[in-house]
This record gives sequence, structure tokens and C-alpha cells, in this order.
Amino acid sequence: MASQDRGAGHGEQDRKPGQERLVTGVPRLDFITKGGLIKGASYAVQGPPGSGKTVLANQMAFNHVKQGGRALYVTLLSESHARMLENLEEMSFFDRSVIPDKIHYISGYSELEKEDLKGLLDMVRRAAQRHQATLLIIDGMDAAREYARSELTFKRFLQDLQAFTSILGCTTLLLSPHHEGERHPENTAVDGIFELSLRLAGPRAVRELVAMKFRGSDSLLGRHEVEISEKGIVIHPRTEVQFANPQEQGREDRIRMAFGIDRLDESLRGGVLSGSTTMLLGAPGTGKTLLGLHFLLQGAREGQPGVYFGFYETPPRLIEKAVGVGMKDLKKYVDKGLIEIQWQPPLEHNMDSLAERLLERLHERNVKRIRLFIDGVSGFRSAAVYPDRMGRFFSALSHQLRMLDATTLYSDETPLLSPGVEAPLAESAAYVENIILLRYVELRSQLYRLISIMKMRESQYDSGIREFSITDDGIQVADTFSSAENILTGHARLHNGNRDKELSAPMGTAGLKKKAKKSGRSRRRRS
Amino acid sequence: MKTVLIVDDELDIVEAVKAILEEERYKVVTCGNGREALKCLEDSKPDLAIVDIMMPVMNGYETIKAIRQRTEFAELPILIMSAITPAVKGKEYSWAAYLKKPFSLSELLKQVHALAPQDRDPEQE
Repeated sequence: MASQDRGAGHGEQDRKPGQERLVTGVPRLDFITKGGLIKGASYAVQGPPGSGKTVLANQMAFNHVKQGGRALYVTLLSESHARMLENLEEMSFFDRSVIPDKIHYISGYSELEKEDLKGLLDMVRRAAQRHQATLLIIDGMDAAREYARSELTFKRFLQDLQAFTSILGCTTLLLSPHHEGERHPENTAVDGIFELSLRLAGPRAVRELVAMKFRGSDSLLGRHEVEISEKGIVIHPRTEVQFANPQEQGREDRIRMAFGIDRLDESLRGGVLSGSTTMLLGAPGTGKTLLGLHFLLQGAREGQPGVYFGFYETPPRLIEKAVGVGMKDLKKYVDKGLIEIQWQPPLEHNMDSLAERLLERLHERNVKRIRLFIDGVSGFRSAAVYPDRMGRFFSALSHQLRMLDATTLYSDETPLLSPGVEAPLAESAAYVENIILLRYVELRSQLYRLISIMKMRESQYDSGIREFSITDDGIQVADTFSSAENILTGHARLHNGNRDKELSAPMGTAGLKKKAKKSGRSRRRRS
Repeated sequence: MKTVLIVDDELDIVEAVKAILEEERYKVVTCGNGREALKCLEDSKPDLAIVDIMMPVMNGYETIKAIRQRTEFAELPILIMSAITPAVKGKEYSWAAYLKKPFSLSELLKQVHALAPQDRDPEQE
């Protein structure tokens, strides 16, 4: 099974004994059906015009032929075969050399016109037997339905067709257009229903496949996003159902993973635990990305591989940014391949596709003690069509990353200057074991950076708040809590009575007093 | 051209087998139960009878017994096509082969070709 159809907990054990499968080769469709369509069974594929029914069916046909099968494609449409094939020619699965020997296209429309369903059935039977078809596709079942004298006649046609294809061992796909609220008589007769949809979610066109019914086997029913590219149809099963029953086991021997920032590592009792998930929460510009890079860099120095999976900075820009604050060896480790930068360009992404890309890359690398920095959660959030899935999605993704022995940092943004601290994703508490909060505090027209550990599961930690700065040598965290104590009063704002209190300048900057002496402007402003 | 008589009340199966055998150049006569089969036996003079066991009016065993009682058809090859394995009951119920439902095309054709082999097509010689 291809890596794209690898999942967790959906293997041979789900299949009934002696049940032969037709592997469709459509990325992840065989994962949804836990092994492929059942040979000799019949399936309805429904959807509005443009949703990808014809592409899906042809993709299955061409893939089936590659595996030694033979396909019969019967069209009941006004669209000519030439036009249909012209549209498919750009697809990578298309292979003209297998037509008409292995894939046989015939039109059944004239038989339907002349002799209604009986004529069509006779024609299909003859052609399927002569062609020794192992996959039969009838495209345009709405036309067949129109020629039926009654619903009963139509069901009888389906029953006769199924009895025949079952003897032939020929899997059948019945394609029909679907409109909202429409009822399809074939739905009660077929063994499975796949509904393709095309809709707008805001300005974005969203294609989905809904597996509605799948007789004879367990399957991942429900809604899954679909992409149509030059590869044809690619399905992205919901991450939270893909890994509902993970197979891989996490490592028992957990170690500390340091950031390489002395005071922070001390507060974390040596670092975060391997296999854990940590949220770096902070306002824009507080230094989340740099802190995450520190983590990857420290890992590389200890020989641990790392992956940066980010949405904002291109790889050159990211390296430049790191070099600017003293992380000069980042480029060296990137060039060596120890640290990998997986940049996701600013396109319309699919949340599950992003997770698949990340997990597949980690599977491919197959290394121990990998450090992963996902920068950040908002990249996934903006790709979400169903925001209420976010909690379950991240929970499943984090669990799977843990199973892959990855120690994960997520970055996520808080408001720029907020009196309280709230995780943008309330459900994150369920899957995040550690939370490190970075924040700005405004005081006498100065911005101070503070860092604190809000949560660390399964470990002791210092919950004190420390001031930190971003310097030419990277992130520096204050030795003591005293500067942070001076800065913080209530919600980090001065009360009237504190105006005269002496305050140090933010770490890593010139002192206020020194500045004031040198600058008449500053003096004037204070007077 | 050899003639095959199909006796089965499952019309979708009958129609499917009929279509398959006609494509194999057999003449096919179909009946929905044993009583109908006995009526059309004389006219159709089949070379092979494919008989289901579970049928209304007259079941498969009764049909086979009635066929065997007619001297002309005492040796007629009978292929039982049923979801249940037929029970051995005696010479008057004898059959040549059994095809368990559901069956595949190759299983069907193997039995039919063996029990009612087609004459060679002079055009192909």
C-alpha cells in the first residue's frame, strides 16, 4: 500500500475473510474504504456537475487497467467520448495506449432511446462479457432513470445488472448528477455511496467526498476534502478519523530536550520531555519563531534532527533572520540536512493535506528523537473549512506526532497587548502538555519582553516570570525574577503612585537614564 | 446449437445466466418453477437443465424426480444451482454437478461447457 494510503489501525483485520478488493489507486480512497472497493459489488457516485465524478471514475479505470484489469465505460451522456478524453488527457493517470483494448468506451444512449432499459441492459451485458470487464462504469444514470417506466422498473434494471456483474466478478460504478435534496432510487440497491460535492466556503471553492454507505466492511464514513490536480482526484481524510486507532507506540525512555537557553532550560528542569507537545504562546513579534529555532538548533548541536514546518518565512528569509540574532550555525545544519525547513507557501491550503504532508515527511525521514517546530497554528486555522474541528484535529495530529517520536513545538498568537492570557484555541489544553508564554509589557513607553512557563505536565517547573531579550547572541533570559517583578504591576500598567519608581530599561537596550542624558528630546518629554 | 433449460425463481439470476449463455451461443429457455419446466421440457428438448433447489410450486428435488421419470430425459445432465448444498436422496434425484450460489462466470462456464459441450463451429474450422 502506498504511503499516502497508510493509516493507523485500519489493516487486514477489518476485512472479511475471502473478500476480494479492487484497489482504486485513488490517493487515500482505499484508505477510507480500508482496502478498496469490494470486487463484484456496485457503488453509486453522485455529485453536482463539476464535482469530479467523471475524473474519479476514469482515474479508477486507468489505475485498474494498470493492475491487469479491464474496464468498460458506458456513457449515457450527451458529451462525446472525444470531449471527455480531451479533458482527461492532462491528467497523469491518463494513458491513451490502453484505449480501446483495456478500457472500452461505448455510448449506451442510442440503445436507451431505441429499447429503453432492457436494450441498455442487453447491450451492457454483451459488452461486459465480450470485453471481460472487471470494472464497469455507467456514467449518466439520470438518463437511465428518465427512461424507466417507474421506480420499480428502474430498481429491477439495477437488480438485473447487479446479478449479472456479480457473476462476472465485475465491480460497478453508477455515476449520476446530484442536486440538493434529490433522492436516488439506486441508493437502496447499491453496496456503497460516494457523494462528491462542490461548494463555496467564503471565497474558497471546497470539494468534498462523503462516504455515505459501504457494505461489507468497516470504512471511514463521513466528509473528507478532495483536491483535483493533474494527478486526478486526491482525497484528504479527516485527520481525527485517520488516527482514531493508532498502531505505532510512543517511546518509553523519555529524555529532556533543551532549548540551549540556560535560564529557560533551568526553569524547565533541563528542557521539555521528548515526545511532548509544547505551545509557544505570544503576541506578534515577541520571539516565538526565534525561540522555536533555538530549540531546533540546540537539537542539531546534540545530533538530533529537526523540522521547521512554517507558513510565514521563506527558507532564505528564515535563515537570514536567525543569523541576524546569532544563530549562525542554522544554515550549516540546514545544508547538512539535519534541520529541514518545510515552508508552506501562502496558498489556499487544506488542513488535512498539511497534516498528511507533515506526517508523510516524518515517516519518510524515519529518525529517532526528532524535534519539530510548527510555526504556527494559525496556518492550519486559516486552512480550516470547519473551525469546530480544530481541537480534535490537533489532538489527533499531536498524538500521531508523539507516536513518531517527535517532540513538537507549536507557536500561536495572542493579542498584542492583552491584560489576560487566553490560548487562541481553548481546546489546546487537552493536547498540549507544556505552555510557554511570551509577552510584551508596556511600561513608561517601553516594551519589555517577559517569558513564563504556564504549564508543564509530568514535570516540576519554575512558574516565575522572567524578563528576556533578543540579542545578537540569540535569546537571553534574565538570571533572576526581579526585573520582571519590577515591570509587572497588576496588568503590567503603572499605578499613579509608582511614577517615580526607578525602572531598568528593557534587557538588551540602552538605559533610559543614559538615553535621557544624551537626548534633550527625551528629557523634554519627561519634564 | 445446444439448448439449456434454466429453472429458477430468482429472475435476476435467470436473466444474467441467460445473457451469459446466449453470448456463448447456447439457446436458453427459462422457467420460474418446476411445474413450468415440465411443461416446456418436451418442446425445448434441452441438452442441459440448470435447476435451483428452493423454488415455489415445485422445489428442485421434486422437479429433478419428475424429469427423471420421463424416459426421454432420464439421462439429461442436470446442474444444480443453489445457495444450499444439495442432499443426496437416491437415483431418481440424481444430478451431474452442483454450482453454489453465488458463483463466478468461470465456474458457471466450466460446468456448462463440460455438461453441454458446444459442437464445433464449421466456420471456425
